[in-house]
Amino acid sequence: MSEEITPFAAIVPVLVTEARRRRLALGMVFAVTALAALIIGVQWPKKYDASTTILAQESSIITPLMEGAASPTANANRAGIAQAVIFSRRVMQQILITGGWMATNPNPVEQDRLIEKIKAQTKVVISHDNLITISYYDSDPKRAYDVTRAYAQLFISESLASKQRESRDAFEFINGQVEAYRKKLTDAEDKLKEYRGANADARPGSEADTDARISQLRTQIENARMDLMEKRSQEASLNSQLSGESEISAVQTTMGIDQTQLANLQAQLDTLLMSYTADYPDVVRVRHQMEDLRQQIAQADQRKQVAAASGNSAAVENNAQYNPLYGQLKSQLSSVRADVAATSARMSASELMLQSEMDRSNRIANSENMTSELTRDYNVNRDVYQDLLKRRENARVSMNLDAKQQGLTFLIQNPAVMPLNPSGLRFLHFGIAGIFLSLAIPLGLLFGIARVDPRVRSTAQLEQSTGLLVLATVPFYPTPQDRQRERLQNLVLVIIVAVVALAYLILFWLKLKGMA
Amino acid sequence: MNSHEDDKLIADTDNLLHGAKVGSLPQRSSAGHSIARMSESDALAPQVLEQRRLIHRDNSVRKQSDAFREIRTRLLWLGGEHNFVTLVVPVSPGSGGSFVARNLATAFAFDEAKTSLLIDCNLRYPAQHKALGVDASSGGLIDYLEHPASGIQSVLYRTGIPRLRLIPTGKPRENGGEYFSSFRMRAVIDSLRCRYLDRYLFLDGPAIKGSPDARILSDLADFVVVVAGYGRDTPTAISQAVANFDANKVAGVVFNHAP
Repeated sequence: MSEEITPFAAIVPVLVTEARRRRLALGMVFAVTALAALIIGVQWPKKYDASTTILAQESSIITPLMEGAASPTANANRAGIAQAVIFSRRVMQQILITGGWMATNPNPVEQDRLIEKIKAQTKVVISHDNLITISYYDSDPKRAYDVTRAYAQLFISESLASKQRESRDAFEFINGQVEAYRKKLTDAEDKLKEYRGANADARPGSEADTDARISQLRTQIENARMDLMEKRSQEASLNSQLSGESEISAVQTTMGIDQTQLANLQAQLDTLLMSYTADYPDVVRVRHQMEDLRQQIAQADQRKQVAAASGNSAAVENNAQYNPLYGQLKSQLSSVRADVAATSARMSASELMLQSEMDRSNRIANSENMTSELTRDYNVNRDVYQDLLKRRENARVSMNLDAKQQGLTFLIQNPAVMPLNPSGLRFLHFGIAGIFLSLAIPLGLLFGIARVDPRVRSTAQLEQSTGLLVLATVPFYPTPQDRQRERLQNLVLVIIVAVVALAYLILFWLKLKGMA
Repeated sequence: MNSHEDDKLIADTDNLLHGAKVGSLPQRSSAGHSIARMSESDALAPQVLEQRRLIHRDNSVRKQSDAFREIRTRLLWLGGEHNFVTLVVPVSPGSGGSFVARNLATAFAFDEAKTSLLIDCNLRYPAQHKALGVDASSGGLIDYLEHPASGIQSVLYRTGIPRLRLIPTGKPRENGGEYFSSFRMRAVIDSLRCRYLDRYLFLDGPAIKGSPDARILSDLADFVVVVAGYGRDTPTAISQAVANFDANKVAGVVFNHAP
C-alpha cells in the first residue's frame, strides 16, 4: 500500500493521459504565460547604460619637479571618497538640472525622491585604487549620456575645488603658526636679554673664561710653590756652606806674607853674601829688613796670643782681612732670601685671586641654570620658527599649484558616449523566457499532478500498490458528442497556440523593424 | 423466432427506442427455460449505442468491448457452469460504476446463448434507465418490493439491446439498506436467477464510500466487481473499499478511464 514515488518511465503515459484530459486548461495556462511574458516584455522599460572612467593620477609631471617644495594633495584618497563626492547634494542638484528633471519645478520632496532614484541608477566603482568608473542608466539614451558626462565633470571640479580649499587651508594654518612662533621667539629673546642685563656673569662664555683663569692661576701657584721650594733648598745649602767658611782669613794670611817676605829676604841676603861682605850696604839693608819682619811676626804672635787670651776678635780686625768666598756666599744667600720672600708674596696673591675666581665660578654656575633654560626656550622656538617659515613657503607653492590647477591629476580616461543599444533585459529575453516558461509551467503542473497526487492513475500502479487483481482496464468510451467536444477543444487549442505564435511573430517582426 | 412476438416488437419499435415497457407482453417465461424465446430483433443502431456509451460489435469500439469481454470471460471462468449474480460497485461516486455494470451486462448479452438482467440498485442516484433510454414509468425495483402483487414482469424493461433487460430503481428512496437486506429482496433475486439458467444478473450498486448499501448488496451477489476510476482514489482507499467484501466474492478491480 505504500504510495511510493513512481519511476519516470511509469509517469510518462500518465503525463500523456493527463495532458490529453486537461488540454484546454493547459492551453490556457500556456497562452496566459506566453502572452503575459510578451506584455511584460513590451512594457519593460528600456535601459540605456552610459559610463565614464576617471583616472586619479598618483603623480603628475609636476610632482617630481616640485619634490620637497610642494606636497600634492592625495588623489588616492579622493578616489576613495568618490561616491560621497558624487552623491553630494550639490552635485545631485546640478545633475537634476542637467537631466532636465527641474523643468517641471518639482517640490523638495519630489526632488528628494528623484535624487534617490538617480542614485539607485548610478554606480560608482573604484578599481586599482585610482580608477573611478561612474555608470548610469536611464530609459532615455540622451539623458543617460548627459548625466554621465555631468557626473564626470562635476566630480573633477568638486575634487579640484576641495583640493584648492585644502591647500589654502593648510597655508593659512601654517601662516598662523608662523606668526604665533615669531611672537614666542621674540618673547624668549627679550627674556634672555633681560636676564643677562640683570646678571653680569650670565654672559655667554664667561664660564669658560673663568675656568681658563682658574687653571692659569692654579698653574701659577704651583710654579710659585716649586720655585719657593727650590729657593728654600738653595738657602739651606748656602747656609751650610757658609757655616763651613770662616768669616775672616786675615791672621793666617799676614803671617804667611811675612814669612814669605822673610824667606825672600833671606834668599836675597844669601845671594848678596856670596858676592858681598857682611858690611855691604845692601847686606845691611837686607838684614834690617829681615829684622823688621821678625819683629813684625813677633808682634803679630804676641797680639794673637793676647787676643786669644782676651777673646777679643776686634783686636784682630785692624790687621784682619775678610774671607772673599764667605762674602760671596753671604751675598748669594741674601739674594736667595729676597727671592723666597718675593715668591711667597706672589703665591699668596695668586691664591687670593684663585679664591675670587672660584667664587665667581660658583656664581656663574648658579646663573647658568636660568640662562640655559631661557636659552633652550629660545633655541626651540627659533628652530620651530625657522622650520615653519620654510614650510610656509612650501605651502604657498602648493596653494599656488592647486590654484593654477597645475596639480591637475584627474584625467578622463574614458569619456561617456551616447548609448545606442539598450542594455539589460530586452524584448528578446522576455520572448525567449515567455516561450520557455509557457512550455515549462504546464509541463511542471502536469508533472506535479502526476507526481504529487496519490490517486491511482495507471493499472500498473493499482496492481502494484494494492495487490488486487485487475480484471480489465476500460478505456474511455467517447460518445459522438464527446468526440465533437474533443475536436472543438483541439481546434481551440490550435487557435490558442496559433494566436500566441502569431503574437510572438508579429511583435518580433515589429521589433526588428523598429530596430532597423 | 416467434413471429407473433416479432410483429408486436416491430410495431413497438418507436416505443422501444424510447424505452417502451415490455410488461404488457404475454408472460411466456413459464412456457420454457429457453433463451430462444426471448431473442429480439429490435437492435439499436451503433450510433445510438455510442451515444448511450454502450458497447457493440463494431470495430469503432473494439478496445472497450474487448475489455468487457475480458471481464466476462474471467467471471464465467469463476462462475463455472451456473449462472450467477454480479455486483458492480464503484469505489467512489463518479468512477463509472453504472457504465461498467451496463456494459458488462451488454457483453454477456453478446453471447446468444445468454441473457443478462441489469438491476439498478443505486437508490439515491438511479441512472441506468436514463442511460439506456428506458421510460420507467411503470415502476421499478422498489415499487415491486413494496407492491409485489403487480408482478415482476411489470418492472422488467427492454433496453433495445438483444437479451438485455433492465429493472430500474423505481421510486427514488433515501435509504435502500432496509430493502436490500429484506427477505423479499433475496427471494426476488433468487427467483430471477433461477427462472432462466442462462440469465446472468448484474446489480448496479452505489459507491462504497459513504454508503453501506454496497456492503449489504454484496450478500446477495456471487461476485463483486469493484470499479476504480482513473485519478479518483488512492490505493489505500481502494484497498479499504475492497476489504469491505468477502474476499471470496471479490472477482477483481476494473480500472475505468472515466471522463
